[in-house]
Amino acid sequence: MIGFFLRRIVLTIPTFIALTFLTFVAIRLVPGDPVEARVGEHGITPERLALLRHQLGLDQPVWKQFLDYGWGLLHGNFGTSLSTSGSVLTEFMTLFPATVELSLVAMALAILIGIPTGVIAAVKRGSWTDQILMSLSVTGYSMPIFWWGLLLVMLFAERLGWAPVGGRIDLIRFDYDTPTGFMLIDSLLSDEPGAFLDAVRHLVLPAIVLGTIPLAVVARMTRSSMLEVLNEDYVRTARAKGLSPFRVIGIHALRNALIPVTTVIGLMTGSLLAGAVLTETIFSWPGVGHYLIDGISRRDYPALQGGIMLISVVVIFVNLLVDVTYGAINPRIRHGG
Amino acid sequence: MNALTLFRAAVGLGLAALLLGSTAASAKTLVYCSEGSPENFTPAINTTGTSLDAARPVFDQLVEFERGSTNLKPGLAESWTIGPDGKTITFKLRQGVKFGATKEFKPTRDFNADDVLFSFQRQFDEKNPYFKVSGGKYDYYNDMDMPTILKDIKKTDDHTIVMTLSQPNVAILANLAMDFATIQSAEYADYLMKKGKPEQFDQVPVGTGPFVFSAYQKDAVIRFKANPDYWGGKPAIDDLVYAITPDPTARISKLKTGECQVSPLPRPADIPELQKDANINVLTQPGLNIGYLAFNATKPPFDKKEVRQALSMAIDRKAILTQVYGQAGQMAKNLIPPTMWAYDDSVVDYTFDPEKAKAMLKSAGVSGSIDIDLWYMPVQRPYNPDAKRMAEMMQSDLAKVGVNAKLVTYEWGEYRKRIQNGEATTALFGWTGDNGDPDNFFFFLGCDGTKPAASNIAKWCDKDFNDKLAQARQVTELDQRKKLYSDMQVIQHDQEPVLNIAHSLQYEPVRKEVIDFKMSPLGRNQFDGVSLK
Amino acid sequence: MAAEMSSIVSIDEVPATLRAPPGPFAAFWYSFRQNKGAVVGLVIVLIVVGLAVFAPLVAPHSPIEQFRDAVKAPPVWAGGNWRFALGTDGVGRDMLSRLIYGARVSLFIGVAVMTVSFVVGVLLGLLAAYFGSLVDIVITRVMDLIMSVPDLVLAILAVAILGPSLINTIVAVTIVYLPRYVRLVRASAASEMQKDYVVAAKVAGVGPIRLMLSSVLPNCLAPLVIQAALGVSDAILEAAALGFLGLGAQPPTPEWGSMLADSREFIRSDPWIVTLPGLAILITVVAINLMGDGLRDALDPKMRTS
Repeated sequence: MIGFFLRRIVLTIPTFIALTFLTFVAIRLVPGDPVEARVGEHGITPERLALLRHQLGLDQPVWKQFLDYGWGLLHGNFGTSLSTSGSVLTEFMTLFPATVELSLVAMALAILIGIPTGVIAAVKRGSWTDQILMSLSVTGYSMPIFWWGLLLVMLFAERLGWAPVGGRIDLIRFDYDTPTGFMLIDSLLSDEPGAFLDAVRHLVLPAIVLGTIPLAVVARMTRSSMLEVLNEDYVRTARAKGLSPFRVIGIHALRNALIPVTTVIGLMTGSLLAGAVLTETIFSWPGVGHYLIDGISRRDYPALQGGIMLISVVVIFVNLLVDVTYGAINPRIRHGG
Repeated sequence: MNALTLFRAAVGLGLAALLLGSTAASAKTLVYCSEGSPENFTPAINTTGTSLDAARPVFDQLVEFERGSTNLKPGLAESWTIGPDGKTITFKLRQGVKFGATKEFKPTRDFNADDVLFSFQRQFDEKNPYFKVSGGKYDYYNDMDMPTILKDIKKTDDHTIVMTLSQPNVAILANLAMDFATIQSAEYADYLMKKGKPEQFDQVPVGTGPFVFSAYQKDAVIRFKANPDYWGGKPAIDDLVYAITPDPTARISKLKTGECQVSPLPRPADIPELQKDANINVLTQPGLNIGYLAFNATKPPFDKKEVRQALSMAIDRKAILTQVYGQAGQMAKNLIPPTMWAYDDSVVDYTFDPEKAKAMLKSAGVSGSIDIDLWYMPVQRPYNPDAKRMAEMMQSDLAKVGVNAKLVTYEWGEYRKRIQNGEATTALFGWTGDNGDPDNFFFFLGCDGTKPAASNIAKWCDKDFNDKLAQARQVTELDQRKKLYSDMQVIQHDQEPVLNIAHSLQYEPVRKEVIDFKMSPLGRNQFDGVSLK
Repeated sequence: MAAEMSSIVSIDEVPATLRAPPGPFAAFWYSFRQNKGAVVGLVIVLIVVGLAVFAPLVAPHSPIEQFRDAVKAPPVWAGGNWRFALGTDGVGRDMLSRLIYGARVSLFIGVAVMTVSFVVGVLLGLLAAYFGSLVDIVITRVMDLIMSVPDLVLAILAVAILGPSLINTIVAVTIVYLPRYVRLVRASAASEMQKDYVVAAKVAGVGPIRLMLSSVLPNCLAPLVIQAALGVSDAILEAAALGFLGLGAQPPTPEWGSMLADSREFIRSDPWIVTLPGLAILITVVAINLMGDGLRDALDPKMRTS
């Protein structure tokens, strides 16, 4: 088991190196220049442009810039943002918890609602319930979430006032330190009454929007996987033996049906982080999605490079975990895969 | 199934309870929905209004703009005298002014001349230890031509600063009121340099301003506390919060729901709705800006002024005003906005007349249909809320007089660079005034600007215009200057290197509980002197 | 769409030799018809395709003509008139016509992305499966690499490099979705390669190209076709997201995502300008997905018998 895990980790090393190289090259292929991008209508003289580019090290040959960057990475230095002059790693780490928190809650929502929905639909296969649930699920799966987000904000936040429009906490009522960056945890640590509930209120709409597609996927997955399992001999036997339907479905069938669902959930992390770009835009959520988009528009090479690297590291790591877990559940693939 | 129904009901109730939690506001906190994260908190190294707004609560300058105007008043300099040759300015500094403290740094001395020296030297003196910190980009200092204007700066005692200029210059005092001339703490700078983390100087600001910086979380919030020792008196609000909200739709939603009290840069389409809202005052004022369409005079057929005039008549600016600016624009016939003292109201604007335009094109020898390109900015600018829509409308108007305009755009930095290099045949662009002086507008049509990478994107060089421009910089007599600028407006109108489109009006929706918030013609957001009901 | 349908027929023709009558298409159609949702989806897709193809005949106005006298005219149900049944947008262009022409753009993007990634995906997947070892490792690693960058971020980066345009949107979205096809083909082709008939064919001296294209590929087409059908809808959504961020087709092309983005500011004053393009995206994508589900059920023998 440990050997398998180590082997997989070793296998990701070339991926990281290639990723570093490719993002480095790709970003430099983007037309435009970090110095030009920050100049306004005033313009800039060629002499000053050259001076500033020199100060930022942009006049070095690309291979040298890459080696410098790689050397920095080996020492855990992700560089300094060109627009803020702050450390990319620090900036990323202040923003990342917000994205993780949002993604986790969205995922939790998807699992908590998606799995029961899928089970119900499978058990009642062909019924009206099934058809309605599955129609909803197809709709959710097909949702352009930027549009969905706009509609929900308009209705629930602005018209009905049930939820806040954006942000992570009521800034007028609460002012406390955020040591972990996870607002749900920080609000509990803060000893401020009502802070936790307020943080939850801020999370609800964005999590629903971000969770819509995963929810639909989980529901569909659970349903089809359940259907397969329900047809297996041991389930039929259990039923024939007269075990209560709840035990058959809830314990025997569900446990096996969830294996593929787990994989899908793991593989969805990547798309969740991507969906977060749109959701964060709509809800003014201070996460990394916005950071990356901003990095592109400002041609902030180090920020963009570091941001993409770090996100990819997380995605690769989560996929690795999924593989390993899957290997643990299902020993057959351990050596084949 | 029953259990499930119960479960659902419970979840529903729980959610409803959460959603309906109260949003009571405490009286002394003002929340401003700022449009983005600042680059950092040192105005000298920043260019965006967003960054300058974020640092402003903490800082003062020697000379300051009166809140809500371009008039100057004493700031950290109590008074100043200009020498007889016009080349030296002596500033008497205010005494007993305290710097704010941070968690880490407690100032041990009051503000003095060393702070002034440090703040300026950092921007031009390569030997200053902070010259290269945080990238060392002093854009405004260079853009305002300070390296040439300012020959020397020195202190004669702890409370007196003497500036020597290379030649008499009318505009220097206005420059000193701009954010780049902010005074920072030399003691704090030394302290951080000794600790080996000079970059923190630009991340955690220490200043003499009305508020003291308390916390910043990127893309989320900036917090300030009122400075009880402020030399101008303690501000009326206790806490000032910048809730960073980049999305304009979200900014308006937050204002409507009371999540913030002041919200900058509304989109034109939202203004009528905001004006109907009983809880919101929509402040407005003419902006110090111009949005225009430049015709590249070096590219045929735009080397003929008749063609430029004809196209100006072919474009329905009235429709553009309505559809792009909504109420937030004022049609422009001159380069400078009517609020400026140099404005010449006798200039007669071009009228929308496609038939005449067609005839003029024909007599200028342009027959049949011609292909041009029309460039538009990919971003919203203060003088143009939606260049894309404007370009689409112009494209449709031009098609009616037989001009096929191909729409072109690039990433903003690239766009600016290319049009300043003269690549476009026609391009949308504009200007926002820095300090209210007419020269700050007319200079960009001067012959200096026709060089590659320079500001005259029409690449139009008119000797008469250029001579008058140079003359107006030297004269100090206001009437003489006014006459020169008036002539220049007539020349510009006749030659039509650019079609003036609009001066955008600035709007700032503010909730009714906010008292005495003033808009600034320079687009500054400022919160000292503001209070809450 | 037409290309897709015909490829479905050809897929079923091959395994049909192994299967009992009724004829393959009839069997497919029979089970496809069982799924009411799929039929509804198919009908809607056909309508959308029809509208797209015959847009110049169906649309009441030009999609780019600006009616300055009727800017932001409301739709019929909100007090408008029949001249502009769905109202007009911020510069007075007819919404109905723009939506109809928009179907062209969106379907074109969807089908183009699907076709290119299908072809390239099959090629790379088969190469990886056939040659194994180094070729396989390189292809798989590159695909892993692409998949480790979040979709939208990758697409944005690609558009940033190439510059925003309709074609570049297609390129960007294709890059993002390519790995799915490659992995699918590689996995099923690799397992197919182990089977006796392939081994037998190899021994009998069948050339590699013929072997892959005529024996291996047809046997792993079913999941590919399902992926392709769903890939069209994913591509439409992704392209709309790019359009929403201002990186999609450039004006005045009536692309649904950019129509939505351009009119966001009207969400309070004239909500239909924002709502309608979103609804168009949703309906089209739902229809394609329903159809895709039907395909899956019909092509997947396990589901067919149960």
